[in-house]
Amino acid sequence: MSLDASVVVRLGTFELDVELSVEPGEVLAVLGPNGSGKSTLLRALAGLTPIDSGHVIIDGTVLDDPDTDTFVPPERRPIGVVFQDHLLFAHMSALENVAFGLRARGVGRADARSAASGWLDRVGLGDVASMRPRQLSGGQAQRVALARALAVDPALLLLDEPLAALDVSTRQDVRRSLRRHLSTFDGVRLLVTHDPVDAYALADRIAILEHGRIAQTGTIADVTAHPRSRYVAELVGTNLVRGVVTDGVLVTEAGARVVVAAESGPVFAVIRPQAITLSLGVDPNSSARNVWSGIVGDIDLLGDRARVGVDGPLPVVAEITTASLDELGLRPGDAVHAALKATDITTYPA
Amino acid sequence: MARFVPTVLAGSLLVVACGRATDPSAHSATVFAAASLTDAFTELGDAFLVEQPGADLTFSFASSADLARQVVEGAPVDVFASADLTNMAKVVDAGSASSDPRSFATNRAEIVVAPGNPLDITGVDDLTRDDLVVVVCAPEVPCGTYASEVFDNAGVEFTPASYEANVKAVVTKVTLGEADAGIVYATDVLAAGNAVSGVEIPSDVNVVAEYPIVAVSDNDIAQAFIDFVTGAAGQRILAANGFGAP
Amino acid sequence: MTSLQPGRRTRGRRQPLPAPVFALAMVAIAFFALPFVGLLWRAPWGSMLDVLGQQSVRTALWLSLRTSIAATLLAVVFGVPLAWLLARVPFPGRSAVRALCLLSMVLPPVVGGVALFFSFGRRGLFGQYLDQWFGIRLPFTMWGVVVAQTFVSMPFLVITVEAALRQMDRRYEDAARTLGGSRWYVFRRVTVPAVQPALIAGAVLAWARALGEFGATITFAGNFPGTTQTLPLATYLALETDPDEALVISLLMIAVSFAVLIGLRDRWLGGARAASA
Repeated sequence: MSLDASVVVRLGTFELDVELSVEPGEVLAVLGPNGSGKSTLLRALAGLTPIDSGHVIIDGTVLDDPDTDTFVPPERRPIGVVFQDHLLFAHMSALENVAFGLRARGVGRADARSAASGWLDRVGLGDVASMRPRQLSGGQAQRVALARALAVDPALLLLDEPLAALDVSTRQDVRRSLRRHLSTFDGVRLLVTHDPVDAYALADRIAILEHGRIAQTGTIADVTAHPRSRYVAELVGTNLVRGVVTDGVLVTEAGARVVVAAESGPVFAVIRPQAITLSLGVDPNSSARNVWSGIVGDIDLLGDRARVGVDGPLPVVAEITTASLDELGLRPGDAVHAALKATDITTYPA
Repeated sequence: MARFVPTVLAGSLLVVACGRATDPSAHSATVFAAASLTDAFTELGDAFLVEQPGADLTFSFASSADLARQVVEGAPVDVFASADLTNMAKVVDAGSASSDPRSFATNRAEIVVAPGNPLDITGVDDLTRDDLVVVVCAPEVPCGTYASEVFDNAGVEFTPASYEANVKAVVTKVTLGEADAGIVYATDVLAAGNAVSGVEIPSDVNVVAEYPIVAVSDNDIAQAFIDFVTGAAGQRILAANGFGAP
Repeated sequence: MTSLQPGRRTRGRRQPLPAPVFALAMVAIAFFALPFVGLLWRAPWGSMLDVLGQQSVRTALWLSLRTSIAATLLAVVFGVPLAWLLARVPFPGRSAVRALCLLSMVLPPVVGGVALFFSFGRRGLFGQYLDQWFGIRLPFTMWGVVVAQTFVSMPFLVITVEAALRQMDRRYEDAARTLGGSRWYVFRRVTVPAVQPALIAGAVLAWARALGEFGATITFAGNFPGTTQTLPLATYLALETDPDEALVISLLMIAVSFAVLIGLRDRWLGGARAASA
């Protein structure tokens, strides 16, 4: 089972233009900040919003293709959707909710209910079958929603930020059980989220969605090692610089010059926060090739480490020990010097 | 803002109260008259004003039963003219009359039909035909009691399509073609002119409706109007409108 | 400078109303209560049962119940789709159409009756064809009463249901569609249950309005015991000759309406609170 989608949707001033595909057996996570177009993408794949151009094809069946005037409405698509707020029907019991999709497709009442009962057992909620959604906890409700989506035996399972509405401890439990169920599901699985932890835990590949465009795709390892956008860099917790290298010097758009050990050409450079040293004065005898002065921005304390933002022509986040922070007596607004070895910078082609 | 609402409320109440102020001048009078007197009394009113310039008359026409009830409940009225004695009795018995009632006209019942009588209705018996939609006044109002008297006199069992609230409503239903026939007063048939035709009810079957009038207040204009109505000029106008002598 | 001294303790949850607001509310309650108190005071308690036993009263009551319930059903069957259309489908002139459909709510009922008369009466613009082609006549029949009542009561249902449809979370309908529900299935099993409190409240309002309808009924349908003489008409005419009967019928109508409103109030009109009970 595979998904081949090229989705262009225009909503007012916002334009979503992405191409993605999901191979049989893999889970794709679309990761992006709020406003990047994740919901629009999901709605387009589900058929709730028709695309303006492109195509959506599952297993070779065309679901949406404006060029040939083909559009299959959501109710006839082989899909199952798990929503962020579970969206269980309040006036039905958990069992009736899970049976809803089957009944809607014409399955008889008794058959639908027994199939639904089976699914509830599979997600470990057989004993809440007769309860109403408001009587369930957040985690239970989300699992019922999963059962409801799986009960219709979809070819494409879409998950819209499935853990976002849960509190932290519930999230961990549900994430674990979700991982289990996703692995036993053999259809196409596409997850949309803003939380990288979800992506790490549940997906094989991720696609980064920013401002309606896919910034990069790849395996998790790939993407985190070689981020191609600030968003990913921030998610991963590292610094990303982009510019053109000429004769061993990377020049950014802002004009900052960084000495690197790299070939010429346009590159991304990753600078680990731990590789940056901060000092109040300049050490003339240091081997560090990159030394510059800046102003201290935000300071985040994380136990015995501190992340210090340094503003300037080359804005970076440096990570030092809290002890050092105290010794230096740094506060936001203070002048500070940053130093960085050229060999501590990893570059790759842009 | 907090001052605004109470001010508006007070202002509106003031406006309403002023509008309602009863005119103590002795130059105006309010007359309640049965619906069947509409045309006649309007004419009488105009003629009266010619004789008594500076006077002011206000008329209210409805079924006598309606009006009688309002008079008894204390409506601010000066003259009451009823289409039958029963409703006048209600007013007198309640002590609302300031003098004795006087009969000033009579009326008879008549069948009203579409102009030209296209359905060939000849008499009261015809009204029971299955193909006709016939309406009469409700028994609670004078013309309704007269109508059922007519049917009793003719020995006819009759069920109408509807009991209307007053005689003018019956006329309207026939003029607009909603009903084929109805029983109203002869004066109503006359008043409706070319919009309807009438079929006479023979005297041996017909009723004589006696119309009394009474002063409800001590208003001079009211008494003057009553005198006018019962006087020669008033009687001439009533006769011209199809009423009989009292 | 607000004093920090403890005043009289108002226990926990009750928020006392400011005095002027409370006073106005009391006046409003009195305004509603006093007319009924007056009725009860003048009621002929001794002859009450006799009057209630009268054929005319029982006939009028039975007719009123049948026609008002029929009118309410028609209001639901046609009003809910109309509400859905007005709430969900943007089309040119929608506000004008909405205003047209709600017009009979603000017009004097007699005006509604007159309009019905001239359009659906025997010689009416459409009524004449109904009569000539199908032999259907509405005036002077029970169905004329139902039509008049539906005309004035349907807007109450439409306005209530339309508001609820606009406010409901449409993502539930999205979810239902992704599960395979056709538009009709979703409407039936998700949308309508979601607006159920509003639907019931609207139906009750419509029923009450239909039950009390007078002006349009007497103008369009006429007045005949058993066929078109509903309780309000019977009351009006009884007032002419037998005020006691009018009084008793009035009390009867009040008792019936009161019972319905009390009975439905908390269970169905309470909305979210009731649903969680």
